Amino acid sequence: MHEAAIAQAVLDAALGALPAAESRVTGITVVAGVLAGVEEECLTVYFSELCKDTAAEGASLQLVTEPACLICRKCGSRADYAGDGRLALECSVCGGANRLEGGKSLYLDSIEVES
Amino acid sequence: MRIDVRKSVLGANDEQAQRNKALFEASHLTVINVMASPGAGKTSLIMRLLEKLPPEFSRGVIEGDIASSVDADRIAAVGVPVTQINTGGGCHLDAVMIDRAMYDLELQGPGYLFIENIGNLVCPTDFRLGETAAMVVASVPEGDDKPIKYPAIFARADAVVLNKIDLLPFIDFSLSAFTAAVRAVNETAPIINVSCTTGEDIDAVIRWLMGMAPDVKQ
Repeated sequence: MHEAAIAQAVLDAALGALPAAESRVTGITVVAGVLAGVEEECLTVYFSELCKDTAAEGASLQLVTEPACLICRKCGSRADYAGDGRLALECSVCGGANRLEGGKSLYLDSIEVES
Repeated sequence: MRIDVRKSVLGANDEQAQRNKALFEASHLTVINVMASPGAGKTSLIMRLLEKLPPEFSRGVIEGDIASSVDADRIAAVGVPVTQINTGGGCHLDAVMIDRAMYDLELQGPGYLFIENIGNLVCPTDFRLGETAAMVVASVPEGDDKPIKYPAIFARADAVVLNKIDLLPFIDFSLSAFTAAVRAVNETAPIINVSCTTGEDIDAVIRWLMGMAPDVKQ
């Protein structure tokens, strides 16, 4: 439920990026890595409440999920980790030990604006 | 019209965390963000560490809980300055809460400040507090697969402390599986096995803390 704080931060950032006081936000795109721990449905519910009576009321919120990457320490094979299923500790190619990299982004990518 | 923003969602929290960090450094405080699931032994570990830190260091605790002052009362009972933050349902601490709590605590260094985050392996992960280091506490009864199930928080740890190792003979828990799981998501954090009940290897955590000691000479 930290999505409430994240929804508020998304709203603040989107309103802060508006070019003019009379313009409105109609769409918001957020990029979140799978390790950022953001649940889309939950974020959307909080956002739809928080945006009321602001210049982003009714704006659509799109969450683009960015995978993390499992990299084998032995053979260097790379595989995406999409956050679902069991995190594979062993490389599917050679059985070496994997390490997890990336997937931590959380940023406001863009907004759609109408004046 | 589309406008590219490319701005960190938690930028405002990160900026406050940077201000907290500057304040901590100016106050000669080493600050540890202690994160774990409920019942892993965060408070017990902090109490052990408070007891064993060398006397030349001041010490203080910020206790984060959804409700109650149960943990803060335990700390206050041993005479250590403590401030309680009750989030009233909020699942994590953020940098603004720490800024306010520091104002109440009035702790001066050289010393150590422990911030006990809300018991939760998900929500505290994204919120930097301005800490010197993040310590994630796991415990034997939770099982050896926790780093696989909650990779983000273990990836962010500067040290992983495995508590309740006195229970190893009674619980199906593989130390090697736990270590492999931590290493998959975090290559560098020391993994320190302790028991807060028996006191076993608490000294190893003290040594890790002393590696980040603030300068005593001023």
